[in-house]
Amino acid sequence: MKELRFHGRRLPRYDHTAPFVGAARLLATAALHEGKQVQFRPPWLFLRGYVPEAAHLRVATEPIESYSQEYVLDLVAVTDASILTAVDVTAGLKETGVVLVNGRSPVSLKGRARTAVADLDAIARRFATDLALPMAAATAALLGVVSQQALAAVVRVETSGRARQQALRALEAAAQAVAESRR
Amino acid sequence: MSRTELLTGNEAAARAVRVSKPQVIPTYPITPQSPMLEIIARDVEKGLLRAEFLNMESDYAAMAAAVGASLGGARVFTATNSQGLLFMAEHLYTASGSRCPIVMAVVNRAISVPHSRYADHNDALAVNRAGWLQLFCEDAQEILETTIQLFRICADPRVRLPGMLCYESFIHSNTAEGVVVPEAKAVDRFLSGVHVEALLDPAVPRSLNPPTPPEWYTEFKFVEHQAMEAALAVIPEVGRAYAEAFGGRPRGLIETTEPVGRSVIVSMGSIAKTARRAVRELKAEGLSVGLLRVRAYRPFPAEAIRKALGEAELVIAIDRNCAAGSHGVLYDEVRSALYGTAGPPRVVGVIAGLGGRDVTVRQIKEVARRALKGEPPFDKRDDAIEWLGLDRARVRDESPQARPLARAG
Amino acid sequence: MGRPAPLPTIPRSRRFSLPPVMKGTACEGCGALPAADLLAELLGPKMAVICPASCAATFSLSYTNASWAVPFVHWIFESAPAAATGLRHAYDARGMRDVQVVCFAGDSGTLDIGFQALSGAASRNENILYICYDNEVAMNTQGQATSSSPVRARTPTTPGGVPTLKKDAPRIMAAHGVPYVATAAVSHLADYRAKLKRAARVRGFRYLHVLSPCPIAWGYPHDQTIEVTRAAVETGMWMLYEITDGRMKISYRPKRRRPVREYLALQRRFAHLGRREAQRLQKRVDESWRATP
Repeated sequence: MKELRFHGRRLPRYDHTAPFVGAARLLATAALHEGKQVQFRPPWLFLRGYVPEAAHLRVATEPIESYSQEYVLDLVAVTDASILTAVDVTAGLKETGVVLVNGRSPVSLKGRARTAVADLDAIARRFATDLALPMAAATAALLGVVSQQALAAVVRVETSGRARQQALRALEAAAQAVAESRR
Repeated sequence: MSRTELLTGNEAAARAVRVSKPQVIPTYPITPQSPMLEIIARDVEKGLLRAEFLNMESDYAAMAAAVGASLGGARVFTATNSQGLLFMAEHLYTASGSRCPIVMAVVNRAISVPHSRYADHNDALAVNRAGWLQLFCEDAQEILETTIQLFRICADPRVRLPGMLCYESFIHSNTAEGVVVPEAKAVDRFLSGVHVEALLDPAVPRSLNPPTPPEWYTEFKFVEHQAMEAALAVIPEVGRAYAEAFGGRPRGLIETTEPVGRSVIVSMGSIAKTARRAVRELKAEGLSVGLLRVRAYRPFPAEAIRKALGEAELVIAIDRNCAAGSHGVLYDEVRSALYGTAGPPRVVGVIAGLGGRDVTVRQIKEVARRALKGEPPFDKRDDAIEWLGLDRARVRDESPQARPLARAG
Repeated sequence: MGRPAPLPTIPRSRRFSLPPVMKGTACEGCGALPAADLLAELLGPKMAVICPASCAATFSLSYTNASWAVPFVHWIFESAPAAATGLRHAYDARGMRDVQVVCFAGDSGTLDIGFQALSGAASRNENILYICYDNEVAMNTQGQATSSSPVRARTPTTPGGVPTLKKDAPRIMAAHGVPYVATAAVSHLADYRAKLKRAARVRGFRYLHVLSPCPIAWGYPHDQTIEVTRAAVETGMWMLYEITDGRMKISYRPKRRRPVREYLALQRRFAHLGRREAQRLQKRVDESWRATP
């Protein structure tokens, strides 16, 4: 079983779903597509405004059989680098866990947490997609929790025409960016 | 064709409502049930569900409208929890006494004071004598299946009682899982025998609820009692019929791990799900531990529980509920069901997860080990109950209150 | 996407402060905040506030901190005026007649689930000050329709638009024969301040209904709350008036009312309305103004 946490800022109701939630949901849907077991928790708290929040995701090949909110995380994804100063994103992260940050400049976090930084905003802008897509692809590329093909399959179902082409390119570009940041 | 979708508990319930086709849906919003109602409102607006969606002025008005609609012969669905459920407490008795097969989702939430939007079972359990069926779900798949099944169970001529579908605030309602959604036409066939008798019908005029003298009152309550007992057979029957029609495992009154073991954890809802993992890990350590999940709490499946616990030596009842000066309901009712049996197991209790507090695999394992060893408080014969994870440093002998930051004057 | 939000910029009174921990509980651009703020400022330390379940109850206290520097209770949704009745009589019995008992409630807790208690307290002419801040939805549960939602507004439980007219709460309260009823709006704070002052001096049941838009529910940029409220007043959609001992007096009559469609155009909750519907709404507004003294 893999456990992931996604950090972002909550948006007010009438706006679109915040990308950190969208990314986690996309990964959950892709995992289902692969016949895996999934438990996806968008943020529960009733806070207003642009407060930092987190979504949680469990993906497993066996039944998950726990609703406990204690997580031992394989990966933490941060969609908004400004959150790093407000929240300890490494809490609950495994020794071997990795933090994926959407940003431009290198990031150093306390402890020895491995970090991967990728400018996913730029990819989202380039292909005119929601940040959730490159975020999901980057996460999948880093952790291998779902395949890029499964993500693409879900995106194909949910989009059409030019938007679909752009979305698929955004997924590829994000996976590529992660591969490059590893080198 | 069934398909697997990523659905929260609320979405699963709303989808079940869409395919179960209630005709009147009186509503009043309360957290965290409101997103479910909004999905239903959209379904009605888009023509995916033909129903009268009513925005009522309060929770009890929603139940009053539900009974009114049911008496008019309509298939009825509504939803509430916590404050709303208690606000409609009086009308719950109206529904059961009038034998209305209303299906209501209760998104179990703690009751103010202290104020909380998070999960515990005190709301549904506070009205456990009101003559409603109460089925507690462990995950989103079960929420979807049980909603559909309740329309058939409640309207069964042997039952004709209203039913609550219970699942937990945020833990179930806002968490998404893979759910197999049945095809609408197949659900139509599954529910094709469901008929709601119109007690208020000009074709057959009746005057309902006359003042009932003592010579008659008891017999009416006995008939309700009989109907609730009949549900003990109808619930597993409908569960089997559902599995035959749609696949999946047949759901009944209780579920047990195989084998149930010498020490058995008894619980309901999400804690029962988390206990599955705990039990698996304890078994891997060589302990003879199992789980008995209560699905139908009302009617209480005393006979099924006695049978399942026939070889058990220890029962650990984990209750997500409490009552000042008393015990958790599972502790009391399991103990009571076992009274008089030959060589009954020891029964101990754990009170956990109140106000939405997280109950972890680790905590369940740890308390189970201590109960097995007979460590205090589990060494007592009576009142062997522990409040799980109680933090004595936080115990304050006053009602919940906050200090202002600004100063007056 | 992702920039930290500035704090709501409203006059900060000494007796009502939004402490740092609460910044997550009040939304940017919340229209109820100025209504609460001015109430706290004007009425001073000798008051107790009963606040039923509502956005105000949520931003008024967290587990560790409270916004109000006066006695405050987060009350049960449907019964604030009944609780206020009890508190008022307790204070009277204890000789504390100079302490104001105030209800501060949203439209849902006032006009729907709380309507029985409201009418009861008004019928008994209880000596309480009742303030309804109206964001025209049940926003504490994320925005479902209430009887105060205006006709044709889109809400999550009325996705096709509210089919019925907004309940005329102030006139219903005046029909109870209470000594003072007034409407106000957070765009016209001087008017609200004057009405609060007047209400504070009257004995008996006093009802103030304050238009307090919600940027999330109404669908406008959060820094436009004052502009949207002002548009409601200037188009005549929201009338500012008092009813004192049954006599109505208009507080502000716009010299030339702006067309209603300008108000509708500001808000996503009305985005689905066409020209014909806007014209119908305009007619209704025109008629309501013709009927005023």
